[in-house]
Amino acid sequence: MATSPTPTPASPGMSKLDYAMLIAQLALASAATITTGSPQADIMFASSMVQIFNTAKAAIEQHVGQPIEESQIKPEAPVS
Amino acid sequence: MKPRTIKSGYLIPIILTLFLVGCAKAALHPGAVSPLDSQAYDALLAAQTAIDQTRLQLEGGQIPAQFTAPTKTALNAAIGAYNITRDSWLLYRHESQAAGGGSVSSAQAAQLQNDLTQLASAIASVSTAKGGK
Repeated sequence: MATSPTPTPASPGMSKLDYAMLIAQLALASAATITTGSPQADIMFASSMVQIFNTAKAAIEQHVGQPIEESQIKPEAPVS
Repeated sequence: MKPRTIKSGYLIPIILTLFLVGCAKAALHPGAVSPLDSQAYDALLAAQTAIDQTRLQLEGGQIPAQFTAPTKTALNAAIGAYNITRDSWLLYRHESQAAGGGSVSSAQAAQLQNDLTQLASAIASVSTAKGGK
């Protein structure tokens, strides 16, 4: 069975890039279990889904926990 | 006839996605004057990212030649909708803050809702114009 690097669990203080990388790693790990057809695939897939859920939940909480900053919403110039 | 079934492999992501969408909708940013204010902020951030990404793709020649002109047209329409929605959102926020946290006029809230709908449609058109890239 193909092996993929074990993703590091989500932790406080992770940046948006860290979250994106972690979710991508988890998705790749899930895809690997689907394609191998191993008897343990279902368990591994479920485990990966739980990790993806927890990571996405942490990312949402981190984003929603930040106050609104009007300056982040900048006007856009048209393209020529 | 064999009954149709949904594999759990498909069901689990669907349930989790719906749950996460529910969480995101329920939570408010600190300093938000209302749920609409918080949602509009998120929508504008997402739209800004989509616009900037498409602008970079155009500048970097990553859009196939046959899609370049329609993408520029759709992107400029999206930029127009984004700027209108941004102004509408700022007006909504400032009116609410001036009212001491009280409710702003329902007309301004309805205007912001309408502008957000137009923005979502315009951003979707950009994706279509790019040929799904």
